[in-house]
Amino acid sequence: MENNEQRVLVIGLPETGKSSFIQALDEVLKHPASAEALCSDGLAHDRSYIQDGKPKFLAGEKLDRTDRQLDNTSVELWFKHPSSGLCGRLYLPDENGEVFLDQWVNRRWEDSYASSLAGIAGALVFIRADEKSRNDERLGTLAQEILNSGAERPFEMKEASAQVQLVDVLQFLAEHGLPPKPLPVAVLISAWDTVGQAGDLRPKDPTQFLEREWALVAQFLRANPESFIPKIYGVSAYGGIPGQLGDLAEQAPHERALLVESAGSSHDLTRPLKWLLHLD
Amino acid sequence: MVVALVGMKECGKTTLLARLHQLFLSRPLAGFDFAGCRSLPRFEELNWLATVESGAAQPKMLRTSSQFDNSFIHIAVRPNNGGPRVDLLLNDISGETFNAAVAAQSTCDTLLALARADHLVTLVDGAALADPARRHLHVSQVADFLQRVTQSGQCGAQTALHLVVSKLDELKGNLGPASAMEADVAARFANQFGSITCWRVAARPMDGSLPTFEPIGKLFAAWVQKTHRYPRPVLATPPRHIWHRDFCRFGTSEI
Repeated sequence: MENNEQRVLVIGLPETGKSSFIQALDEVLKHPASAEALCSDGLAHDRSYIQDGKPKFLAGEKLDRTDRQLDNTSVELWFKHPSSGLCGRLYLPDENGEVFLDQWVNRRWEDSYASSLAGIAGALVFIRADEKSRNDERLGTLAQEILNSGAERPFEMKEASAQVQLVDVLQFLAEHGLPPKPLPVAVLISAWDTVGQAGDLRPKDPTQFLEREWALVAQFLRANPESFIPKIYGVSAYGGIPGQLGDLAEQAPHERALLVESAGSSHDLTRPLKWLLHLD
Repeated sequence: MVVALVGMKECGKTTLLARLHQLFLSRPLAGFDFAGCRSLPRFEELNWLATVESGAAQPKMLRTSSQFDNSFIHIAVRPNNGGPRVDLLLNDISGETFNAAVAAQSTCDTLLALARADHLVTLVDGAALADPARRHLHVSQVADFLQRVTQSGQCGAQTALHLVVSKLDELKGNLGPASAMEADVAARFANQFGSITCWRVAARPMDGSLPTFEPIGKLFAAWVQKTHRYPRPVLATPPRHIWHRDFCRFGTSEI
């Protein structure tokens, strides 16, 4: 194998589907969806972290939250790009989402983390299709209503709107880290299987979805072309709701994984990585 | 761009700022994309008590403290047709200080942002204009404040004045008092500011009957696009080989 190491930053607030995607990606690499897809080039020497989550993921059950006390959450995947013959190692540190939440709350990060950003090839940014991007503002009839909750709570940083927190994490990255610029950023909208169900008026195109549902993130990425080159994907690592897959559970994990982009949909979860690594 | 917001207590300054943030959370505003903000925690805090999540019985705003009279909230935008990024510093001066500045030049002099402001946004509470018992005080205080800042030279031809009637919904269609005040200010201060523009907004109408997006968007676009201070001075960056000391790169190598 060539000594071709590619580090990809994985960004996302808690429970945004980072670990599930990594598990599904591992499966898809082993069972490539097409001749052009990235495929596995063997097993990394240390797969203990990814192995821990395998039983639950393969059973279609929800993964435990990434333990923030773990010293090593790095994931190493060996890949091959059949059409170019390129082989390499992909490093995806599966940081606990609390790390990014802390960054927002405490306004600081570790120097070692900041310096580690210098050599990244790109970033995978996770948000959830079934999560609110902002707190509900009380306007119109909502404003007139007197709520009897009786429990007015003071503002706490961790209760800020999700998209505000995420934009701040990206700002930190661009202003205080030293990543390559412009940095390719693949925005992965997880739980995409929840989009487009009966009565769901949200756009079914991931780019339009981000524009409407996570407008601040979409604007921020577009307005900073010197820092970021974004591409938007919808992704369902399980193909459905973990723990409630029903008949879908009959299918192998790589067959039920779903990736949607403006051009169409497939099971090939490696497409965002191919794009980040300029292997498209 | 520096934008100073002033007005009597509870005239809606903070609500206007908070709504700006909320509008960007839902879509680009008046042709501008949100490009960054060093004050995101503050914006979220301003909005908190007007959200369902706060558990507040009724939506409300944090009162502006005089402690922050010389502080700024930052937001950056970029025209979505690809123009250059513009950074805005928004200065929210408390209602208490507004009154104190009318009363004493020494207090007015402490408002450092006024002398640098590209835009002076003076809000007048629509609810007060609708109430004869409060109207005359509010109109008088606004006029006296403008007199104070022009006679001191803190504001003048370099400043764009925006006279904003806030809480338009509270006027309940009776626009006479607002029109009279606008005409009075325009006549009295015609040649003392770089420009005078009148606006009417309902930043957070309780009945939901008035549009908020477009009026606030137009006001915001005026802040971004207009200034009487330019042409902006262009600082030449000295060649790197004459950076004898760190501050030399700021063009002060002759010191």
